[in-house]
Amino acid sequence: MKAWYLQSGDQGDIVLSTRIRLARNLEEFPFPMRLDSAGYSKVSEIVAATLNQGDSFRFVRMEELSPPMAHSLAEKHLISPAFANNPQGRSLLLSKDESVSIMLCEEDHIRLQVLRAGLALSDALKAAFEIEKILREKLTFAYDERIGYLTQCPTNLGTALRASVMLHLPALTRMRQIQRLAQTVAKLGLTIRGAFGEGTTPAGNFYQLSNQITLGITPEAAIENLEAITKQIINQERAGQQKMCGDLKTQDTIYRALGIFQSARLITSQECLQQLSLLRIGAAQGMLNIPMDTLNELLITLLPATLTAANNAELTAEERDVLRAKLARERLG
Amino acid sequence: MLCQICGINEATTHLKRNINGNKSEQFLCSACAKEHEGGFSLSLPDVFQGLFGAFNQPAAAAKESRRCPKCAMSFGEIAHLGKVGCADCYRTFYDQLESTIQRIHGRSIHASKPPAETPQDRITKKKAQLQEAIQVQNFELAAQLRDEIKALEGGGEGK
Repeated sequence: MKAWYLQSGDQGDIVLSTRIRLARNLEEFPFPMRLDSAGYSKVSEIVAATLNQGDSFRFVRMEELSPPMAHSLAEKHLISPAFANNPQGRSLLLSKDESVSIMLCEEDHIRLQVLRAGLALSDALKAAFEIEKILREKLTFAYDERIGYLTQCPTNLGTALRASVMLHLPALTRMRQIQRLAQTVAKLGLTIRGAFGEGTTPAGNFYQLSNQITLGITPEAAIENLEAITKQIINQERAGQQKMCGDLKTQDTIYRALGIFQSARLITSQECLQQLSLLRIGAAQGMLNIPMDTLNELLITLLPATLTAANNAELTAEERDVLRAKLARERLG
Repeated sequence: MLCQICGINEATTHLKRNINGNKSEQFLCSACAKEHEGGFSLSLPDVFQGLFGAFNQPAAAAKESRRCPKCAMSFGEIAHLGKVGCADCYRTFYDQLESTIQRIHGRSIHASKPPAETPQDRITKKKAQLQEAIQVQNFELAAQLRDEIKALEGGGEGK
């Protein structure tokens, strides 16, 4: 299987990816906050030993990665930014196709993530539980009958399951509906936030919708809830995009965005996300003949750390902008 | 910092309230601050801070001396950090944590079936880990596992 960002899945015009994250802790060790580097190593060795036999996972010591390589993993949503920023004593188990990543001693001993392209919640949940079962057969997890899996932060108690989908919502953003949407989904136990960066308007109109409640709800019910709400948002967004594209000025900005990628010599990361957002609308609405998987690939591979990591050498900001423009021209020219 | 209500916009407004001695504060974006000028609703981080607020009262401080037998954390430290030290902390401070858990999740009872495990299961797991440790030549870990298996077997059978 290819990495999620090299393909496009179900509902791929709006849903870029699905992620399931399970948190687990070993009963006999204090949580990571109460461990030192040696403790991290010990826990990591125990967990890695249960999985590494099949050679399906690569064991990565975070300290051995260059900062761009570590941050590239965060840009691909394989690890958290905090994990990339605090590599001391921490390790990662990563499947070769980048569909499974297991952060060891992040906020919990085990943070198991499964990633899929498009909307694939059930499939990702099934895959996550298959790996969890392998771990469970050999390890004793911290668990309490009353409050489920015990986690360092009480917000994850219960199933310790965080399911999320990455959405592209340019129409709802333009119609100023995101704030209202955020308040509505909060009442349904979900939360929505920007997927790239933390600016006032999320760069490129990419958002992450995830469940907030983990206790008193089964994993299956949690993802059904998330899926039902995601589908409603998809319908609203599609209708909005269709309406937007009926307008000549919007059509013009979409075709201009393609012109920029085909001709520009310098493209900043911020501009890249903005213009890719326009290309996605054009491709989704049939105006542009660009496959969604190409747009997913460009979105991730042109992010600053991933661009630098792939180049194998340090780059200045301007060198990055030059390289970004060049790669975009080659792909879309 | 992001707005504590919408979680999307940058927080620009610091809202402090004192209702009958109940102090609370929020960091909000201008849009959410405007919306909440009249009323006052609770967001998740807010609810969590509520727990810590409650602990600052003198009566609660008297319980500070109780510590988790495994990781030595006190309830005051848990409340201050918003994080729990180990599995035993939840058991030690369950009564104090329950109301917070209830407020975060809207309920305090887990819905799924528990994974059944007997002491024998634990021994089996440790033996499997021991074999793996020997295979990868991690003898320090292997020695520790061997001692743990001995202790489990000894404790269970009274040998």
